[in-house]
Amino acid sequence: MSVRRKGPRATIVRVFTYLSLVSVAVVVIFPFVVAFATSQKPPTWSCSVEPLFLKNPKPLTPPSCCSPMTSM
Amino acid sequence: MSDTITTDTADSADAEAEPRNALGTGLGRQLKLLSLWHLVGAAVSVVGILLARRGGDIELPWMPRYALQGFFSFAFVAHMASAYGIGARARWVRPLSLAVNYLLTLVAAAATLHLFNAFRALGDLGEGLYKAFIPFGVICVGLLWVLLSGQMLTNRPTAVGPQRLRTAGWSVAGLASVWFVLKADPSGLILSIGDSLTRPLALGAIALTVGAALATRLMWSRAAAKHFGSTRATDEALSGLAFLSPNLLGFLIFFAFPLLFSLWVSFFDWDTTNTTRDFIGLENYIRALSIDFAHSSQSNSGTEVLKGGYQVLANLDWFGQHWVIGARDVEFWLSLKNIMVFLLLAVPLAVLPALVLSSVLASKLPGMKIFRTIYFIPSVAGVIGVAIVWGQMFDATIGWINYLLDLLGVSEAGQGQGWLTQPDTALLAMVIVFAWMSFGFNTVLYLAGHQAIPKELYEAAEIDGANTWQIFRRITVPQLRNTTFYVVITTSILALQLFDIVWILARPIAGGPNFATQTPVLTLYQEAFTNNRQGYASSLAWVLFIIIFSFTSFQFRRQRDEATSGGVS
Repeated sequence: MSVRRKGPRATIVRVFTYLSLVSVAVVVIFPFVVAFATSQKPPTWSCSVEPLFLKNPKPLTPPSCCSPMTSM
Repeated sequence: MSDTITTDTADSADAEAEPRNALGTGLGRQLKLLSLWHLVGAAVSVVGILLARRGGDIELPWMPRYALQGFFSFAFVAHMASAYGIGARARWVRPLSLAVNYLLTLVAAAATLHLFNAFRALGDLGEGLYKAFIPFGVICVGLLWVLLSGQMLTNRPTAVGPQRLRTAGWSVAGLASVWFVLKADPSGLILSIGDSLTRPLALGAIALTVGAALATRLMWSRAAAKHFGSTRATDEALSGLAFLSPNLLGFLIFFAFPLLFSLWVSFFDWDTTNTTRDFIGLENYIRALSIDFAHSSQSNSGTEVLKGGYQVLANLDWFGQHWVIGARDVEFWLSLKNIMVFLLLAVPLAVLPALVLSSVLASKLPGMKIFRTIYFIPSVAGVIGVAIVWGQMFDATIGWINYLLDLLGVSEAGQGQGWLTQPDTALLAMVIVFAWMSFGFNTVLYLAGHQAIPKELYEAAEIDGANTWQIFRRITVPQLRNTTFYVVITTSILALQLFDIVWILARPIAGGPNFATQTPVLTLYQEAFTNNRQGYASSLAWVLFIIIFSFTSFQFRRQRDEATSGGVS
């Protein structure tokens, strides 16, 4: 695939290609981002009903659920 | 040793011409001593056999008893043969005596190190290094100066500056060494060595090591090679084996022996909580693989229609007929079913995206190196850590997967799917994690395969007007056939050995819910370490080995047939 095409269609193909690559990259990276974000939170934040990266979340009821290990 | 090993056929011819009474020379006396050494070894082996066979209160458990008897019997035969061969000047005795003495040197050296607490001293050494880290760093700096000055002196041998630098380097390293010794305080180590030196057993181990090493040295020598008429081919083989021996011995001791031992164990009713082991032949295999089909007049029949000892594996309705399938070990058969489903889903998900992505990443588009790096990250991440993160993401209440599905409107808020708690989706969750972890590495393998495809093929296809899909279908895929074969085989073997992901994700009940994620390796682990049935677990391991081996052989045969028939199109 060493020969490059030019023109509007090639541009669309290229944009689609990059979008696909970025989508896959997001899927690949996402668990690491979650892991990093979890490492920055206090234990009680890890069990929020809405999983948020760093914002102060609504705590889960009962609030004793405080660890991703025990919540699994 | 390397200076002593070269002999050739001329040497061999000289040896033939040498008079038979050469044993009166220096070499002859040494060989007489070596013969005596082997006779002593044979006598010690007999003592070893008798000690291993002793009964009464000090009777050894049966396994070490038989293992030691076998070991000393082998040693006795080898020593006696060596002693006889040296006297008879047999050509075969040199390799045999070398092997015996070399192995004896290794065993005796290991015993000596153990008796001197050398293995524990490694920990003390690390502690001492920690205490004296600064002087250690200064020593390194001093030696670095010496190295640098040496490099400078090779260009300008009479230069004063590098000579002074070298002197200063040695001085710094020497002073720092004294500082290191004072700081690290090796007095405990020295006292320990001194204490060990007073023990007869430790001294005997040293003597045995030195004696065996000297015997090895003698047999390795050119004079011995000439005396026993060794050919160049024999010497080359011995040199090769000597170089190979560290790896070969490690393989035999830590891989081949446990493997064969597990085969041996699989023929026993081997309960880890009991000392008795009953030989039961193939019973473990029969129990694992036994399956029963029974016709039933009604659907969802139970064990009443099956043979005794069988449990219901599945109820089937075929063409209006009700069938019950039973097995003696239902868990193992369920694990086989699960792993086959897992294999069929996970391997395509781990291989096909890798094939497509590698074709894009192999292009000259900007930024491809960044994407390659990103895709490879899951392959280098620890399985346990990654599985814990995915477990958190799959959580029904607080997990990201359900949260994102809610945002996209795929599911109702708060009514999220219990990915890991529902039997329908638990295995699928494992498939997703496995594919996520594997596809990056497979992509790299495919990228390596892309390098071997001739660029002229793509240029010719472009000139012929082929579109991207046609190029991919007709050039890339066939040219990557060998890579695909390797990728499919390795990914399939990994899939069939699935354990760690299930172990973490299916907690608190590994294999759950309702055996939905039970895998063969998990079953054998539970049999071995939860139910303490080592014999049965070993038989499951060998059944799994046969399955993987058959699968791999089938793939190899298919690949060979395709290659001989001109490949796929």
